[in-house]
Amino acid sequence: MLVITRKMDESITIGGNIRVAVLGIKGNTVKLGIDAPRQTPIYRTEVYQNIIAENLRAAELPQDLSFLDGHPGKKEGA
Amino acid sequence: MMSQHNALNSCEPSVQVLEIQTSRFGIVQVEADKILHFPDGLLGLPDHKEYCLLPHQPGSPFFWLQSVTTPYLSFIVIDPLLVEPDYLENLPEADRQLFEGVDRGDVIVLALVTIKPEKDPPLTMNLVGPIVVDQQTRTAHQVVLSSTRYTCRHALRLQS
Repeated sequence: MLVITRKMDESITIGGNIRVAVLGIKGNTVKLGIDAPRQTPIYRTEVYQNIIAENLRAAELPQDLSFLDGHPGKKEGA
Repeated sequence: MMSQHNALNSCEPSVQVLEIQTSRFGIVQVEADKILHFPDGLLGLPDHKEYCLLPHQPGSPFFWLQSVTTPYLSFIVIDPLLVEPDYLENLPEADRQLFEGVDRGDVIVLALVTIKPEKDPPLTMNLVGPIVVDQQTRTAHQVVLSSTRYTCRHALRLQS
């Protein structure tokens, strides 16, 4: 992994069209601003990994699908 | 050839009909223009780019998202707005942009459903990584919300 030290309000440029700037530092929290083309997906890494894991869980379907009988409905129904 | 009884098989001779191998339903016939194209696949499954939607049962809110090329790869999906009518309204503007066209009916949203009989609740749906389908081009993407309002395992409770 490339390691670069940046100060507040400094940024790095990735490729020709992605810029990541340090907008704020408070305790152990860093606020980043990202300029990137609209079609570039940007994810929080742990969210991205959670979705991958959940997709794989969802692909493992049980034999018994009776859990799918019924309809989503409002809770006040009888 | 006419043995399938699902609602997707209307008899339009001009449309090419594909026969899709599935583990759960055997061979299913789907019109070529009903195939959903996922240019990036689903997250974690980038090599599987073509799926079709099959109804679960008549009247059921659930559908199967079945891989066209891999018989054993299928998911249960549901329109999350049936469960959470305010789902999109509750999202910040940056996320709502991902769903442009839903209000006009040009785009549909699907949530992947996870079934784990041993868990409580056994049914959950992924509201952080919904699928957005452009009805016109049949192109679909799994998008990732920046909002932390919802989770990958949003409880899905049904009434009989």
